Amino acid sequence: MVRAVNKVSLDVFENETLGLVGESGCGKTVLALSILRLLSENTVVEGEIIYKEQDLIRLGEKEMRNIRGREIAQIFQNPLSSLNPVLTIGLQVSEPFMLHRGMKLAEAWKNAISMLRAAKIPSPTERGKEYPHQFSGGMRQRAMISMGLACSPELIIADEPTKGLDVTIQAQIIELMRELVNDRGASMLIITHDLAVASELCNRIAVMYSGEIVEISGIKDFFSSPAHPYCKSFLSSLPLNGMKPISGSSPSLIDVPEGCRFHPRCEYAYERCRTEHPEIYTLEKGRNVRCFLYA
Amino acid sequence: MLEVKELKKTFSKGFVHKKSLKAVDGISLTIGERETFGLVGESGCGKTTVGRLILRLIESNSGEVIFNGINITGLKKADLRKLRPNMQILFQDADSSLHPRLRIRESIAEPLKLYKLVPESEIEKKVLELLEMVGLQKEHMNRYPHELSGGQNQRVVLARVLALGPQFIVADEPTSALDVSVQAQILSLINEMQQKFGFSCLFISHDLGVIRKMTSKLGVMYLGKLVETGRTEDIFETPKHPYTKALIAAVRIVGSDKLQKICPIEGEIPDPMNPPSGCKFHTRCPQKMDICERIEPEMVNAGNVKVACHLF
Repeated sequence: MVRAVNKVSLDVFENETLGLVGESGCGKTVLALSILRLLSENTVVEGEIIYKEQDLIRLGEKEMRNIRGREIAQIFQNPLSSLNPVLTIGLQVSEPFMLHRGMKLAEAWKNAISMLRAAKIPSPTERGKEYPHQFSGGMRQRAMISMGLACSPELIIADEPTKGLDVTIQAQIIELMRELVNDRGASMLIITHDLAVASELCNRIAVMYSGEIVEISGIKDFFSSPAHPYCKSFLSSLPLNGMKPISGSSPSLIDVPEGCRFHPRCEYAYERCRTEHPEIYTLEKGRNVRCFLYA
Repeated sequence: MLEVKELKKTFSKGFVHKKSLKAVDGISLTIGERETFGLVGESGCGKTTVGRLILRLIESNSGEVIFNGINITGLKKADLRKLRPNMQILFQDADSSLHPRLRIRESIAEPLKLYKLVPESEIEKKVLELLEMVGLQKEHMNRYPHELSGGQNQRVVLARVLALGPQFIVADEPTSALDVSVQAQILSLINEMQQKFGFSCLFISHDLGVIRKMTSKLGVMYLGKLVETGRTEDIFETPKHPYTKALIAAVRIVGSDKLQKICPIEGEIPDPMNPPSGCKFHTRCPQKMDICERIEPEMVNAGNVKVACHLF
């Protein structure tokens, strides 16, 4: 058994964009999938996921379906494998309208085309009739975003929405998401390994390391003075911030270190870090850090 | 040390209705001793093809590659083979560039045996020495690639390349599959090894942050052509070509003011099978003039750099 996510707590407030950042294998995608209960059946999810005063974990499958896509939508990473290769883009964007709004195909199609237009797909009437393989990577991501936003969900979970795209296209997608989300007044949980993406889209940032949240801070505080030693090292390992490597590598989730999970790589580690597991400490209002330095 | 002149490569598609794609369309560059030349551009612009053409992993249609005074474009296979230890490549996906059924020890020993660089009895010692040099330990010798992480595999590949003592290395996106903190480890290691062994390097990447940190000279590619080339710092300080400007503007600086508009250019790279007439960038260029649609700009000197744009 692997404990991919360990006692994670976070809030996404109304009209807020929260960034969930971490390196590969830290559990960020698993966390996101667990919110909409999209994990496979052999996973055990414990805890509470409170959305508008109801606990999603205890909800029936039927009610859950009404939430997915209508109330909470997910934009998955890797659009090519998330889109159905044998259905046209237009039809796939029409689906949420038919499912959740009870529209007939013709009406849903019209709505889908205007969604594609809002996502700035050129000549949407013609492109709607095309299949995913005829779209470029950036266009596919735009189609995914249109699908996700189709029913104006209140919370959008976006998993690495810019992964695998070129820089100029990434910039376009970020701009588009910012625009669409602001216009609709939705909240967003954005999962990314790219700190630059987070710094541009988010109000607050939560950093995960080895299945745990190690810091939650406002975006300004985080970038001007990261609190957790991992976040400090992570920021200074960026090429433009000095490219100072963090020694060692992330622990395997099968065999996590005792005490603080970051202690083998931490330059501030002392005796207590090796034996005792740190709780989350509040540094100041809105800043929470899992580190004994702030105990 | 390495000079590339007017390198061209066309790929063709189709049997009856042949269509051709000019992947690399007249690239010229020079790389000096111990120098790192960066090649940057969006996916599909032909930067990987340039790297492969230089090493003759694929054959060019025309142009010359001169390595240490030897024109390698006309070289016979057997002669080329003798040069191979001097010119090596680091691929982007280290996991798939290692043989899955060979132990790390065997993978690193292979080039040593092939080129008979050390006597049979000393291979074991040499392999260990190479492994330790790239930051791995003895325990990794008997592992298989799937037992190591992406960063560790990239270290193994680097050890294998260094085993041959090359004078020139093509590094084709060596860290694009790695996390930032691991990326920093690998790039620092490449820098350190370059200090130690003094090889020259063609560094291919789409990540401008990495390029700025790693290279001294830079070429910006767009649809098979160089649009700007010069010293890396000069290009980053004052980008001249509208495409270079857009690329640099698209680099999202961590912690920057988030209200700043970051969308520098509209549209996407045109279909390379059917490239635009005139300047290939005119379809997305914010400073387009009439002439751009008709005439393809030549490379001209503009201050410290060379630019292919009608504005200069």
